[in-house]
Amino acid sequence: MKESILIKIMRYFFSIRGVLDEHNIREVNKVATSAFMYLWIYTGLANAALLMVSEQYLTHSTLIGFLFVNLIIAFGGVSLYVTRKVSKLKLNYREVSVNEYPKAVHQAVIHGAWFGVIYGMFSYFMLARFDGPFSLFSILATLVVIVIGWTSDTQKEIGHIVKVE
Amino acid sequence: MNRVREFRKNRGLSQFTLAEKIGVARQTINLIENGKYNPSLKLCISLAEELGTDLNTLFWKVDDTQ
Repeated sequence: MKESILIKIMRYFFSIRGVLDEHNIREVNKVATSAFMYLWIYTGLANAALLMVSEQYLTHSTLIGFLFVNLIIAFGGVSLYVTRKVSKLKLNYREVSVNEYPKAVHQAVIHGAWFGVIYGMFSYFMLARFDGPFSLFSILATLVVIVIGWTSDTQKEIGHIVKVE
Repeated sequence: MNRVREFRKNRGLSQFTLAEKIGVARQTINLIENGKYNPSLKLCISLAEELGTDLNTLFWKVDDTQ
């Protein structure tokens, strides 16, 4: 069965590696619905609190601070919640037969490489803003981030592969 | 309880092999066998076909005391 783009995105961001059959999709939907509900309640409460704040405190910096808190809760909090639930449901584990194990390890290495490159690019653009695009420090730090990202993600992915007889 | 485990063992299949054949996770087969998950009709039919039996035999009430 071909997976939708939404499922592919969810697989990537929440490290869902196992088979997404009807039972697992149902579980993922439950987690997503809970995450949405928490976010919905937070949005309501946060905006209501902002409406109650006196106008003299509503400066540009306060609103930017509010925006940052919202971003941290929306991305960080929800991602943490979903990742924890996925881990609890063991959806981040992949069961493979003994014959398929080497292929799964190879896929884990490729996944780790992509993770390292994306993480490295992100770091490069952050460092280049402060240190210049051709700075030796930016380039070397990026390479270090790529290697660390690659090895750590590969190690994590391989740890989640379960050999089944 | 259903008779999925009994039919699977009779055919000499492991949970993993059966799961692979019908395209579900091994945990799902385990949950079905233990009566902790009610599969969809589509999955029940796939299971029955793979185990060479019919839905009635596989899922109709089984008296555990017998």
